[in-house]
Amino acid sequence: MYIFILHLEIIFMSVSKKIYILGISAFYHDSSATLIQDGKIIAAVQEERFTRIKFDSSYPINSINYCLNVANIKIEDVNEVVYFEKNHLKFDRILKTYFKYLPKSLFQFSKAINLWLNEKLYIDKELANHLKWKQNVKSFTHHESHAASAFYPSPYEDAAILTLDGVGEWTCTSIAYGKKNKIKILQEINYPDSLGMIYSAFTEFSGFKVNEDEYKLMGLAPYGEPIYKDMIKDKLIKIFDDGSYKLNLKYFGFHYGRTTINKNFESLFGCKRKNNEEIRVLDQNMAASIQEVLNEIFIKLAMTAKKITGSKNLVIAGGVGLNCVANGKIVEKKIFENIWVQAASGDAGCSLGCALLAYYQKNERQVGVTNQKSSFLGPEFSDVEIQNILDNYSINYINFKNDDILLDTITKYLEAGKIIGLFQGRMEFGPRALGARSIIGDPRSVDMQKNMNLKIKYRESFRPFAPAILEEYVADYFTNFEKSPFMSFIFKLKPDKRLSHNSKEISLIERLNHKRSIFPAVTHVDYSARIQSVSKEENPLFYRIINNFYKKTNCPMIINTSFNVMGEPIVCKPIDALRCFFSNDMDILILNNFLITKENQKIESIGKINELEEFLK
Amino acid sequence: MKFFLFNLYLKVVLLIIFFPLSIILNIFNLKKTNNNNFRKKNYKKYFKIFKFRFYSPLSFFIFIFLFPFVRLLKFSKLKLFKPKRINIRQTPKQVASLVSYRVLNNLRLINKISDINKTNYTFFLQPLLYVAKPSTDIDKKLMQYISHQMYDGFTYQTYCKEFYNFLKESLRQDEELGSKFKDFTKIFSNTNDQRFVDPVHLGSIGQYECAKLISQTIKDNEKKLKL
Repeated sequence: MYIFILHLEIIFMSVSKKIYILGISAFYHDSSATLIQDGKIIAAVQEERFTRIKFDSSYPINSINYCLNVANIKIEDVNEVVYFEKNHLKFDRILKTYFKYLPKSLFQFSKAINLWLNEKLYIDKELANHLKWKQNVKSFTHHESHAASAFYPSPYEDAAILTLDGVGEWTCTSIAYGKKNKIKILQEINYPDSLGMIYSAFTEFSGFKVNEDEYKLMGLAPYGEPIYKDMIKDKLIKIFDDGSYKLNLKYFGFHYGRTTINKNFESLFGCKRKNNEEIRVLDQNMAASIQEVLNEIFIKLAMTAKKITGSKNLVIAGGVGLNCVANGKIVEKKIFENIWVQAASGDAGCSLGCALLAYYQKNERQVGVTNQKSSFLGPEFSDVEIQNILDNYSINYINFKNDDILLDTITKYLEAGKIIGLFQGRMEFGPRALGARSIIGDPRSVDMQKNMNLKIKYRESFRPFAPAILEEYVADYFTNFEKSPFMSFIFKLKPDKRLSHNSKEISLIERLNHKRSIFPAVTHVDYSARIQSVSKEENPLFYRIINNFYKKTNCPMIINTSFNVMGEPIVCKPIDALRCFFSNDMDILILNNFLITKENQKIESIGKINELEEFLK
Repeated sequence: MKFFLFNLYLKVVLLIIFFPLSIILNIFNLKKTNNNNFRKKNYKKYFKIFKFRFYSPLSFFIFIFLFPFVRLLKFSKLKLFKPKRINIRQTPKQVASLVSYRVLNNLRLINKISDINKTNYTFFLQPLLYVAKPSTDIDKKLMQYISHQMYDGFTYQTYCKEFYNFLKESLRQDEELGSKFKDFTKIFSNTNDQRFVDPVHLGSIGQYECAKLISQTIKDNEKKLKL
């Protein structure tokens, strides 16, 4: 009898034992950690949100601690720790590439060897040491991690997988096929032929920061004419019919040096813009031209992916996969029936991908278990926690006990042209603010884009803003609509909603002042918009705000931009939100149900919030 | 010293052994890409020597020359796991509120000390061209000159304006400190004589007039005290 009960106990324990897998992406760009439990995403967060260093690549200790705290477990309870890339394979690429390009690579070669022989070759061991993890840290290749981050959380049984990135170990672009719990990489393009690198080269040429400001180049493209497209295809990149491509390395410097472009590039197009110089027509045209080239490659790659996989679904990940203009082109061409883009498409998403890969190596997949319908996977704060912070800093606030009154108040302020900082629920995973850490405004205002850029975000005035629109009304305003909960695609405003023709002959600033539609703040100069479709099921909190605004104004969209100022990551904690709120001309701050205005606040309290030591706590 | 020697050795190896070899290999490796650039690779193939995974004979060959120094360099300069220092860009409002908060704390300290010593004090906010309206042609030229001087993406004038606004507002909010505060910021706004030598400093006439006003304030304060 005793043995029988013991057996039952063992069976019960083995059935109920949860499988936790911790995924880590770090030491290159945008560190992050993800915890999954039995295939479900428990928590995922980028380290930059805690350390307040944008794209922080350091060891994501804060993110790891957060993930473990959410699940209320210790590192000993985790079944596997997984790293997002294979460091020895990466070292192989570095050695061989620098070897090939000697003597130009002399300086970088010796620098890399010092770095790799010092620490980087032993990352997996060091990770285990720092985590006090007694087993081996597992690893997958960079593009396998990207592919998994796109496929497993998608709502599809099978899908073609397109990963487009700067570089992983060797791979820069890959086409894979995912079915059930298996992912097979079918084709790949290797370093140095990298779409990420060529886009970064143009980013650098236009005076923006490489690996950070690529999205600015994307935003600049509609202002220009693609007059250099043929020259780029002729001199810089050869595009094959199947979407594969080959770079002409004569014009680049990334494979041997510290800059992405070299003198040959500048002799072809002119001098690169310095960071503090005005944006030139040349930069606008260059941005437009490389965007056209990228669109062409994306479409061809998607067609090849369709041809070799035969799937009707496409999923996309990788840093270049954040290019929503090119993603939108794939939708426009209707190559696939369904497209899903990972919200954390960049390297941060790899922590999710590698954790899921480890899980699905041993487990069957059922669609919907690894659900990423929304990307709210980060920290959240209770009303009590927020009230304590507000009281500690002697901040005056109104606590709305009734949600409807709060919603009406938000609508009233939006209608009055006020700019509101919105902080509610769990923080987003990935680069986009989707309503949990957002700055919102009325899209009907003509000056809103300029004001928000210059007075709130302190960034370039040409940068567009995205509309967050109720899902049921998207088709009324935009063409070729595909569900876009993570701002993954660009769609054009329907012709009947447009107001005036924008001549490309006038200056950038003049074009900004043109009223392009009845929603000028979210309509780019080419009538495009990077939309976020908001549904009641996936994003209920944000939906209610937009819906209430719609009921009062008949406008089903609002401006949604990330809650930060230029150069800072999106806010994570209430104190970050307060600090950001008092650092610019934002009018209202909503922290859960607390409303804060700038009137009647003690200057001393604001100073206290800005004390760096306090802020870093 | 050992790092210097290693780097010297490395450069010699790179230039004398690797460089000629890379030229030869590049000649033999001239592949022509025909109609596509897709590859199929199996990254699971590697060989392992001393816990190092080698994915190709070439990387193993290169590594042979580095191998004697693996121990020397291992964990010599630990950087990866060290937290980075934050270097954020602060907006003028952030800088202004922080500085005025600290000035306010200093004033509180002064207030306390003067209370203990039973002395009287007045806090004067000095005239500043950055926040005052330029009244003379030279003032205008000075302002034009400094309008291009930036710090961390913002003009000095923006910082100063925000700071003065914050400080004045915080003194207005503090009754005790506010009662001992005199705003001299714009005392030279409506004069035709040249008071400033640069946007911050006063010339001799400016200094003299400022001193006169300060002494007048002290006299007035003393009168009030006697009453």
